[in-house]
Amino acid sequence: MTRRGAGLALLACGIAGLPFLASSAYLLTVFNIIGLSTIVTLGLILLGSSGQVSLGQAAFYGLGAYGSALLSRDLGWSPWATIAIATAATAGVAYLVGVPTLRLAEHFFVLATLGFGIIVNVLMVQLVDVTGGASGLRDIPGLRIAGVSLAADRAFYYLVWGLALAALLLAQNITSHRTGRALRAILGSEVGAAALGVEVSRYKMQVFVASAAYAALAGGLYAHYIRFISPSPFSLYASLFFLIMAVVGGLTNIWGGLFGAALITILDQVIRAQVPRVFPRVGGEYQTAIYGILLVLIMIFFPSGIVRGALDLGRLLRPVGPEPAKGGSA
Amino acid sequence: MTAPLLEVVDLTKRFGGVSAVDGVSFAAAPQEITTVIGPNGAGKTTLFNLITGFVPPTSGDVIYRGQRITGMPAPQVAGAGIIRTFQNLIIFNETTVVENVMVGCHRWTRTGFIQAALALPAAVREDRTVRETAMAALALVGLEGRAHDRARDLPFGQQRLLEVARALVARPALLLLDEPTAGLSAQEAQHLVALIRRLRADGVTFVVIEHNMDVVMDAADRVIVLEYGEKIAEGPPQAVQRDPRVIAAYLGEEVPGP
Repeated sequence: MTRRGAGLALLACGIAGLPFLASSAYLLTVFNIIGLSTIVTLGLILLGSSGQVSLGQAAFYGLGAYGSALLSRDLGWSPWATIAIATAATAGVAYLVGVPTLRLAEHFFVLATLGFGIIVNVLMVQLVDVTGGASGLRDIPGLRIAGVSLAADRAFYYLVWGLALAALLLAQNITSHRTGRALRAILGSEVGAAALGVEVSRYKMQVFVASAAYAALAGGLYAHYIRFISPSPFSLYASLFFLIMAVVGGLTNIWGGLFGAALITILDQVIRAQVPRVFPRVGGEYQTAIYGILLVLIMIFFPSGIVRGALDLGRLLRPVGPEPAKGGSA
Repeated sequence: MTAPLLEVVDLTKRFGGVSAVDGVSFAAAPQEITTVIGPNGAGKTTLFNLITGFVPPTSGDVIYRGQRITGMPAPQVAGAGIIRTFQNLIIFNETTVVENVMVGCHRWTRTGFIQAALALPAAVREDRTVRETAMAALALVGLEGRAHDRARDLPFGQQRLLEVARALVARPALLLLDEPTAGLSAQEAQHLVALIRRLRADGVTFVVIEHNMDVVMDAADRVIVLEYGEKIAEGPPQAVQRDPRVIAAYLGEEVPGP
């Protein structure tokens, strides 16, 4: 508990100090995107702690973004209120999606979320009168506190990372108490959990709704930060991207969420910048291929994520000492 | 006679044309130890699945504390105080031994999603109680030294004991144990029987599926014998042991009596 608290305090200090070391607008934008992705990924990891995987998180991210953008732009409401409303509404949508789909077996649930994500993305493109279609929504109001704009990269940085840390703390708390034990029990065996009185379907629903709320919150922040949204950042590709972040971080490891979001966002930037230099004639598809390969490699070599994998590797490579005897499993 | 804690009335489960459990009735009085025996495939585990809500019966009723609980979903049955273990063991492999046991406390703890997220003082307090309860139960089955090992690293016999500890912390009124001594050494089995007796004295009622006849003779107040889903005998262990139908079921008809 105290070690965890110390880790979080250290992380908070590091995050607070980072803009003073790396203050270019480009880097701050990258950090902000990492912060937003961290929030989405944390939701996925919460979901993953119960053994569920979603390929629809970009849709929830998009619902948060479009919902908040439309309410604030067209009704003139404060973006703070509209982010909250859009997050709550998206949580409601997740509940409705969850009612028929959560009773499905795991891989069918993944397919259902994938289908949901595609439907939402198609609606974003096709409902031109509401969403502006493929050309998107412009002139979304920015966030302000007491008349001071948070549009600047650095101001937004502190907002998004403050919320990301809060999201991390909440997720950490959820996983370390009764709820988290119930979720991990469901991951281990739904039958075993039910036999101890864990209401499996209720817990799955709660964590699914929470993951959608995490994504929608990040989406709302995104809309008022970039101040322009279009359907493409909320496509299936984005859902896959978030999932890769969660898997890289380790689907059940809260701290891995932060790490996965950072690693993949930075890798994405490097790939975008470097690959055209090496292979001048390749198109945009190479990214998909690279992430596909990455996902496969991680699943093969680090099935519990890079963080856990590195720790295990460190343990393996440590000089051999008196190892505690291990009972053979039957 | 006191009112039974559990009554099974004419319980039947058919899978296609096969009757896995066929018109079985019995009652378990409070603090009684009932053992269920029978050859493999006699329907013992199916009977447990029917009582605990994992499989809906084709017909018949399960009555607990005078209330009909037939067809109630498994988590609610557990919530009402009927806790079971599994013949094939269900261990939450990826977590530690102590966390496995802590899940057992789920039924009488109250921390919800929001209280957990905010780590409210009540949640933290409850957590401490749960951890202490789990450690005490581990000590009771002799696993306190392995509390922080990963559950899947335990040998089979210790996983069995882990499952028993996890069931104990649920504070069951009725504990259904499915072959609890399978995979245990003779000494561990004896220890477990002593533990069952002690818990019975504390008010727990047991229904135990058991193959080890020494354990059955030693611990049971009453034995129920199933064969092909039907109850073929019921009574005190010594009487059942001499029942010709039971001997036939176990040894085959052609074997001459003693």
